[in-house]
Amino acid sequence: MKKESGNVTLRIVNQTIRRVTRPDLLGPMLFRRREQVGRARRLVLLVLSGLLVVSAGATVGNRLIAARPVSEDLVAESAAKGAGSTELASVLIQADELHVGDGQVLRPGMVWVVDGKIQAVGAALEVPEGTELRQVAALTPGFVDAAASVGVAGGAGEVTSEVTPEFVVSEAIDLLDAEFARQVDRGITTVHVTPSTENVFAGFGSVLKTAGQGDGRWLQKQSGLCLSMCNDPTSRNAARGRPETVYMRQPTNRMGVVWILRSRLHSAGQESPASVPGVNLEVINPLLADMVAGRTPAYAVSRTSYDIETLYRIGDEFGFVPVLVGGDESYKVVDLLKQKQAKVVFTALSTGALGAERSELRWSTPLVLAEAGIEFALAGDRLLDQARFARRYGLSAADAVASITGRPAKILGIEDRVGKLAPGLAADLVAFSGDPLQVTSTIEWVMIDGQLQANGEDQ
Amino acid sequence: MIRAWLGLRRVVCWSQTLRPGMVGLALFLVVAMGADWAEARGALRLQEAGLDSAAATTVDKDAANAAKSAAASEESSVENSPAEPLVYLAITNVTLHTMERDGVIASGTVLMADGKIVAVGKAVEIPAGAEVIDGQGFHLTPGLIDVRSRLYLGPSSADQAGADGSLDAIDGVDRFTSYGQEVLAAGVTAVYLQPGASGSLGGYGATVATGSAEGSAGELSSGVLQAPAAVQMALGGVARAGTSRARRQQYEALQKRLKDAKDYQKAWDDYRAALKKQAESKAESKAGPPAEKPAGEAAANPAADEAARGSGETPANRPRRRPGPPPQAAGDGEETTIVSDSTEDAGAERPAFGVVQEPRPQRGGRSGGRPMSGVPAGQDGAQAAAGEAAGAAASEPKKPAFDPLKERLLPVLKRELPVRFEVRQAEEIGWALSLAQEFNLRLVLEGLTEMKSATAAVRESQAPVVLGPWLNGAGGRETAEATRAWAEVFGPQDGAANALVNRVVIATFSEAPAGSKWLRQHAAMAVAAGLSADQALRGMTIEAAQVSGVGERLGSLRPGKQADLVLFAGQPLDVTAPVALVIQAGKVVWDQRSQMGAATVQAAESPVAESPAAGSPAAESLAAGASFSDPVKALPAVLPARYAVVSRRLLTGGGSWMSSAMLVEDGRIAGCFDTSELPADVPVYDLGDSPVTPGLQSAWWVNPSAGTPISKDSNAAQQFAADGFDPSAANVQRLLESGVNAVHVVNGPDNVVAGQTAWLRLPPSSSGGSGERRGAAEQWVLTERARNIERFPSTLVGQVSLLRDRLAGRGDATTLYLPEAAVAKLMAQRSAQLQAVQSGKLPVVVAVESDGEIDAALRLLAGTEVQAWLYGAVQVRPFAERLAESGVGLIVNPISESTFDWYLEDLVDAQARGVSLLLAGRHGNELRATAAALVAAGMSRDEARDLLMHRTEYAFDPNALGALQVGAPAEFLVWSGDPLELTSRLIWTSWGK
Repeated sequence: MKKESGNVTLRIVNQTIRRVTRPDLLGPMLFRRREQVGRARRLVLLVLSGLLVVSAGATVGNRLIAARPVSEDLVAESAAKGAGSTELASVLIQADELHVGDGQVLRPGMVWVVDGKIQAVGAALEVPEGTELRQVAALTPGFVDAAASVGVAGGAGEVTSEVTPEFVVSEAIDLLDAEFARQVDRGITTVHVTPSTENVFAGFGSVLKTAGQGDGRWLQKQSGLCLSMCNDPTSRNAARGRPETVYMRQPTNRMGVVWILRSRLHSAGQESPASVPGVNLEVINPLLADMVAGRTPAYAVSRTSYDIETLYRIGDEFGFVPVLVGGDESYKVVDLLKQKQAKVVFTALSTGALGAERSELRWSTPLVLAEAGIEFALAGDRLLDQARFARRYGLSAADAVASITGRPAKILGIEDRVGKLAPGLAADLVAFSGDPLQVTSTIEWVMIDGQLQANGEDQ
Repeated sequence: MIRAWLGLRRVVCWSQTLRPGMVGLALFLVVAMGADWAEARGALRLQEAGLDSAAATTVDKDAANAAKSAAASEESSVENSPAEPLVYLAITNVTLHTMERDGVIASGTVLMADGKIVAVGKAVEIPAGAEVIDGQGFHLTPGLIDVRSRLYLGPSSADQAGADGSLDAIDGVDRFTSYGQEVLAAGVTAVYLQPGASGSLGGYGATVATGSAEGSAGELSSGVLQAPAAVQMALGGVARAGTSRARRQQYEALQKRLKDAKDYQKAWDDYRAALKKQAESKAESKAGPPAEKPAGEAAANPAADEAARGSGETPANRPRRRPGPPPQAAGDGEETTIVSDSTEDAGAERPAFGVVQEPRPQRGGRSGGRPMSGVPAGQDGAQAAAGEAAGAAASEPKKPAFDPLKERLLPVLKRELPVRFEVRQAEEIGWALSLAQEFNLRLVLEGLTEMKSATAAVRESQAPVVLGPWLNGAGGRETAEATRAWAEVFGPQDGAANALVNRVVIATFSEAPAGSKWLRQHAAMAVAAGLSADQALRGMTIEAAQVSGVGERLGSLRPGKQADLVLFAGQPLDVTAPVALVIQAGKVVWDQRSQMGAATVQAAESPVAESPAAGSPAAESLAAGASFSDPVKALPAVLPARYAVVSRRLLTGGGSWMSSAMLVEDGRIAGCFDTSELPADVPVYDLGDSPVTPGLQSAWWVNPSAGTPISKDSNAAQQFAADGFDPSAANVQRLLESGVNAVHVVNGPDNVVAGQTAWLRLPPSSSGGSGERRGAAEQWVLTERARNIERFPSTLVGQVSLLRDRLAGRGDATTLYLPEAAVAKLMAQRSAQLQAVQSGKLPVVVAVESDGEIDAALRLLAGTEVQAWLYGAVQVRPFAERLAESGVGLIVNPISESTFDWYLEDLVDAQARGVSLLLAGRHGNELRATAAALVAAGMSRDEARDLLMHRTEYAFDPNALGALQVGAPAEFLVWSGDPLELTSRLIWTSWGK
């Protein structure tokens, strides 16, 4: 590796970036190896193994031909480590404001990261000589999106049938998808990718990191069975009132959704269920039985108050407790949710002013849920914007940050691995230039498993 | 001013770096530069020659005197100018393809400074402190120019066309794209862009520098080298739009537009003449009638001149007048052809008719358009005002209405701009030629894929012809036909060299933004079609520059021209020789030299003949196609049953050459011997250096006549690609003509298990032989084509689970409505096929595209015994290690206009890691172009030849003998050169008996 400052020349490693000759004014960005390139994008992301933060390049094919380092230190650091790796073996991060992720805030606070894991967290820490020091204004855990739809190649719903519990999105997640890099830029370090909602039993979601190498990125290849207790499964019926045509796909209306849920779950509980044409009960029924028995979590999409009520009624009938995904009108059924000790993955803030299924939204729903003591997470992309928005409508700052970090991790059952700043957890960190919930603050960098990822310029 | 300032800097620098006595010399440089740098350079040469230099460089003697006198007047200002060193860059020891009278200079030097070429020749003195690049073993040419590109034009600008001439290519140019760099890296330093070619009259085209917007400096920052550079016209266009009748209507509409524009010009000229006459008569009346002179000579009178100036006419635009009688005489008598009554008033009142004469209103003055051709903007307004004032009392000449559309055609009528006329068929070519004659246009003919009966007319016309595309992505069909047609066109005419050949310009006609980067491949293909190598190179450089309106600035290595240069690691037309260095406006903008060892340069030294200087006897014979005829003469029209072929370049199993004799008996190869060991009684045909190779092989060929059956089952394992194969079909004949004798035929992509593929030998003599009815591989499809929302699966997850189940032998059932016995047979067949796949006896070919699909395929295959090949991967680099570990090979798509260089490099890199490659293609030229591109990306030549001729057979035919082996059918090809060089032509084929 060869480095010159000013007019940068980087002649690098693994033949990934071969030459960097001229500075350029397109704005800083991250160069990421194995990035999809050349698809009508002016700039191409590349990496030199590990990471180097440079500002922007024009490219020839995927060959970077122009770049300028943002941080001379970082370049020097990369150079010092030979292969350009920026894994920081031992680093202490000092923050004026440190959000632990469970509602606590330390002012000031410190996090000591060793080998990609958090070693210690506290107001003041003692660390050995040689530990690198970083200072930031504010630090939060990496965000956890509990209902994402990124990176699935070739369709996220097997819509040829309405009951596809054997569908597993991890079979088709493209780890190189450029969308993951965009999530990193937004501070999202863990995503729960779910199948699309067009089937009653849609299949299994997967939980994974938005960056990292190979199999280390997966937290849960099969997170839980995703159901749709909403109108979406009816959208695939193309019969248009002709009940006997080949274009008919079940269900045809909301009552049909309920019937399919009920009949399949009923069948799963039978010793020798009646066969159904086109359905492989040997494969499907054990999956459903596991869910009913609580061995597999259930994530159910319901948005309107009556769907939510129906969902919990079915849950009672068969004896399982689903995680509610969606929850647009959950403010109408707060008492029910309280009584069921419901966990809510609230996605309505990501759908815009007109709720899905024309549900009636209220901006203060997160506040209502928090005041009722209901465990909820904000989900569905752009988590920081959602938290800031919820804060604007009354949610406390501690709850707002917790609802995109620790709470979703807990709902997904991965709270022992990510979502908080606590010893033993992965070093997934987001550094801010100021109060994270102020729009004037920007993400300065993102760390995933101890690896520096981005300067967050996308914010 | 800026030029002068630069000049001063140059002067000081020269005086410091050379010798004190040259200050005077440097001085006249300053002045001459402003007018003509080349002249100044010529003067410099004179001086140098007088001292001691013996540079073999063009000397322009006329420049010397002018420069000397200029030097004297500038001397004083030099003393005050600040000193700043001029940076010199020299490339030495390089083979120069000058594109000038000097032709090719072996081991020459080019010296550059300030973005311009300063000296070219064998013995150029290099100033102290100059940066010197050693070009030993390299070839240097001017920057290449693609005269039909769509770089920088967005889809709407490039595809949407016009019919009224209102469009302007520079308005659609977006230089903020990485494609510019990609094209630049291929040695193409400028491109000509124009509005979409499907319209009959789009508007102005422009010549633009390649590269990225942010990187270019100074005057290149806008990138525009010449605008407008030409006017785009077409009949039918690239898309062959419309019927013959529609094209006739286009022609008539064009004719009308040109005629209207001509009339419009007349109206304005007449108006001007009337105004002038009026002013003159006033001046005369003031000064009193000059009794000693006849009225007809008033224009030559100083008083009349003054009057003309008063009415707004300036000396600058007066020289534009047509030669002929003085204006008044003309106006009164001869040229006023329509209006017989030629009194002042009548002429002015009927502006629609009258004398053709300058000046005319300029766009810059009225329409707010770009000023053109140096006529000051705004003068018309002034003139009109003056005219009005002068003629206030008398009857006013009527002013014609300004028409911006017609204005745009005037430069064409005055031959200031050429017309780039795209025509494809004989009929339209004739129309284009007649339009050019009728309106005296500067014609450039483009397209001409089916010249046929118009060939003679094109030969007779003096118009440059822009030919292409040669490297066609659309199945090679057009390429094949065009190549056939052009071979005749390029051929000798009545035994003499063909004049048309010397007007050929090469273009890509690209439809992809970065398509221009394959310009060299197009040129090489043109050479294979019979064009001389020299002309192909000229057609990408000097002649391309002339056609694009930049002939004075670009296109050759001449002092004073812009320093756009390309350094090739081999002959410029050898596409396996990579571009080593690109210099644009004197700056190194691409440098690949560190990536290539000396070995590459040596290896790339190819046996392509040195392109001789134009006009030399060698060039003549090349142009006449003589160089291709010799080996053919060695072979008889009908070969005997037993014969031997001798060549010093016979392809061996490993892809390398061997000098040997091959004995053929009864259409089979009976043995390979040293020449001396041949049996005495066998006729021997000595082919000399001409390469003899086996047929080419394509690893992926969809039989177009088979259709794509969509099965009700996504598992269509029983489908067999060889069914429906027609050996006499036209596409099969095209394959054979291009040298392909065996293909791996695959099924359509609509079923997840698409069926069995077949390994087919194409020559008629080999059909019915062994292996044709047996499946060569099982074909899986993971791409979008096999997803169907009315049939499982509709997702990639579904495709993977279906294949996983199949591999595990789970859930095999059919939804086909068949009798039980048939179902049982079907299941048995699927099951047997599955076992062969599971055990690795029957390979699997998997169609993939995106990263997710490649990843899914690799996960699916991991841990199995399956022998697999992936076809269609858009990206290789992230998967190279896993491919190598799992032993999965890659079938490489043919290069297309949108193939990235890095993709080829990644393939070569993957191969180096142990990933097997095979080549796919629909035409022999596609296969060869892909192999050549891989060589340019770093693959060894032997390896590439092996890919072309052997590997596919080994992959899909377990009984493969290997071509040119004893016992194999005597199917071989004779080439004019290495098949990896696209300039080589297939000159003889033997398909067995």
